[in-house]
Amino acid sequence: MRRSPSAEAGAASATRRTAVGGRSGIGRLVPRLPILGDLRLGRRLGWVIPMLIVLVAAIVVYNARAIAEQRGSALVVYTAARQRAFVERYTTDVLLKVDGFQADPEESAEDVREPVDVLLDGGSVRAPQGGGARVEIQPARDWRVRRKLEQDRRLIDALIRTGDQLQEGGRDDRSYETNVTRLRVLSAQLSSVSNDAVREITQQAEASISRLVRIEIALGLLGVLAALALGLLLRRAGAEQAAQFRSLVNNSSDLITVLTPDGTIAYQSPSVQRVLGRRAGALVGAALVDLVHPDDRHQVNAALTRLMEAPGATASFGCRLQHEDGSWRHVESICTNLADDPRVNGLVLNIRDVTEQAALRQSISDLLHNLARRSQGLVDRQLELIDELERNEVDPDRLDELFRMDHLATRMRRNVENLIVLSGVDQRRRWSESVPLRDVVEAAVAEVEDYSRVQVAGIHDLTLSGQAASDVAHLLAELVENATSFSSPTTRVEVSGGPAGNGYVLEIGDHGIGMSDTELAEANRRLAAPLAADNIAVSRMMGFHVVGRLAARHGIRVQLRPRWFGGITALVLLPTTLLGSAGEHPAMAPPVSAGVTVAPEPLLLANSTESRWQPRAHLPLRRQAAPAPDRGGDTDPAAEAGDPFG
Amino acid sequence: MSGGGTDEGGRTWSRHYRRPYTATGGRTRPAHDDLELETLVQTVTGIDEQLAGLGREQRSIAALCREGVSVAEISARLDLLLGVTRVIVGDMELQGVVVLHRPRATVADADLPPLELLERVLHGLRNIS
Repeated sequence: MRRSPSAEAGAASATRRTAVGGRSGIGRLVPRLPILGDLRLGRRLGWVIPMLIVLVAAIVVYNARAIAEQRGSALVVYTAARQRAFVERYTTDVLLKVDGFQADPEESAEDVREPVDVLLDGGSVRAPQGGGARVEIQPARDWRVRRKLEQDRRLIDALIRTGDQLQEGGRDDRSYETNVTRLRVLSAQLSSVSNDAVREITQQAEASISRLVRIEIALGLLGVLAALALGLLLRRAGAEQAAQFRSLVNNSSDLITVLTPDGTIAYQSPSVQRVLGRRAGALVGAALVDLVHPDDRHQVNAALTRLMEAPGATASFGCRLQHEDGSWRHVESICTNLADDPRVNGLVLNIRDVTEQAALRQSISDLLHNLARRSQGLVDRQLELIDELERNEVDPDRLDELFRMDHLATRMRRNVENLIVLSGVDQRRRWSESVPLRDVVEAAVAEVEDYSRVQVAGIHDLTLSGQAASDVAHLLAELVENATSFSSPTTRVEVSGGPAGNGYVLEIGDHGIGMSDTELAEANRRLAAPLAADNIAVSRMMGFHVVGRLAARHGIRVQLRPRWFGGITALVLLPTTLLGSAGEHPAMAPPVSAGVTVAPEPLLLANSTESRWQPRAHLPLRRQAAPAPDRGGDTDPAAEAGDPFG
Repeated sequence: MSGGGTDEGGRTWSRHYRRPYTATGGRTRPAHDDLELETLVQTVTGIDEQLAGLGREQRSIAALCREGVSVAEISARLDLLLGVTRVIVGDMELQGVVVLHRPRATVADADLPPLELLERVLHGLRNIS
């Protein structure tokens, strides 16, 4: 019986949950059943599940009760049957005692009474398994059984009375013979009545067992039906969900592609028809790279190979895929490695057609570039005009004004060139011959607002490729501008250089307050991986993007690092391929000083050789540093620093 | 003296990138307010070791002026602005790198030949060249 209360409680709590959670009926209960996972059933058929639960609970409860009941009836049969043996023993004990043998009819009399008393009134008997345990027996309920048992009890009373008389009288009593006969008769009667009682009880038990079996069969059938119904229901819900998912996949504008580890297409969603005009079936088994634009293949292969080595990882890349009609579609792909998932066992690519966005981006970039080109032409003409004016000017005051104009126009030219760089079009100025490195540095300094604070010293006699000279000048100008803007106007900014193992290093050091670790990390990240033009507008480190772009164009490496006494050093590594020796001088001729000689900082150099170009984890945005002085009142100097768009 | 050849538009590197204001740090007023164009500049002899600490323009001027060259000629030969040349030469004189031979104002204004005569001389000179 112990299981039934909990089973009932389970059923009850299930019902209660239905009531509590039933915002809109029984169907609400369904998603809460953990065995169903996230399967959602139709509300219409949701009632099947609670019904099944109630049914199963009922079967469990009924079984428990029936089993307990049958166990009791077996005990009853056993107890009743034992009584016959007790009666026999009592009769024998009495006769033996009277004949003078050792026997204890009193104890036997107790044994004879006990089964009947227990069967009629309830109580406990010694368990048939032995061991002294006692088992409760419920009073008999059936009236036929009770009648037999009461008859039994009356006869037992008579038997025991007769036994008592025999013991009192002994063998010599006159009524000895009569009493012995009577004892035997009563004993025989008792046996007969007990037999009847046992038969009644057995019949009762048999009847209830057969009833139980019938009910069990009925319940079992119901259970099977309910299970079948549930199965159908789940199948139908699963089919609906699958259909829904299939329709999602089929009608999505994104492509879903599963690649095997060797790069062939294992599954292709039908939406490929819409995006690439190809049939999904025809693509299965083909290699994805065959669809990729030849210029993008290397990059796609690299991305996929890298991803293949990291199960569970996600990567994204953009490329062009060929349409059936031969045109190229720009796509962005998000790729997840599910090689560890036995149901997928490959890479899952979510490919989105971004051709329109790419075209839009291109047109914005073209627009930017176009405007910048025109401005550049105008600024160049303006500078030529200023050159002419300066040439003929002898009055110091007027020349001073011209110089200011010249300087402003020079800085404007740099800003315009920033725009061209950011537009993504590689339209650098190319010079027919290589340019002395010192001239390049000087040109960079001339483009900076606070050029008079810049000291150039110790640049070796090298030349820079005419292809790269303008870009390097621009790159240096951005870094020097950054250094002057974020250091006190009373301090100097030093530009120096020195040979490195794989090129030549220019160092631009300032005495500013430096950058926080996070700012430094951010700036170095920008320098190492400049964003696309359309992302830069939101960035406040545009100057660093420009530097990053220019550096990437020529294989130059740029890194900012803090100086131990405050301020920042920008290190620019010019690769050997860009460099040449100037005239007769050997490649690394000793530096000829220009301007004021500034000894290079030995500590910094020593420091920087060990791990010069290892990107540091910490880097910065230099916006919070000391504002540059507003010298000419012409522009906001802070806005210009490394951030030409202000 | 500067490399680079020309760019696509035929400009030279120095024309494009060398800005005159950098040579003097933006100063336009010479140390000697009245430095005449005809002032002769001569580099002090035996000063070579001192040249190492000078800027590029200073070194060029020092190299050019071993024989004594006028300010105007320096400007033309080195392609420097006249105003810039005057500032640099003035600085160099103060540093003791060069000495200046300034024309003495020997003639009073009243003794100058009439303007008409000067113009005729100028005209004649133009005809010669």
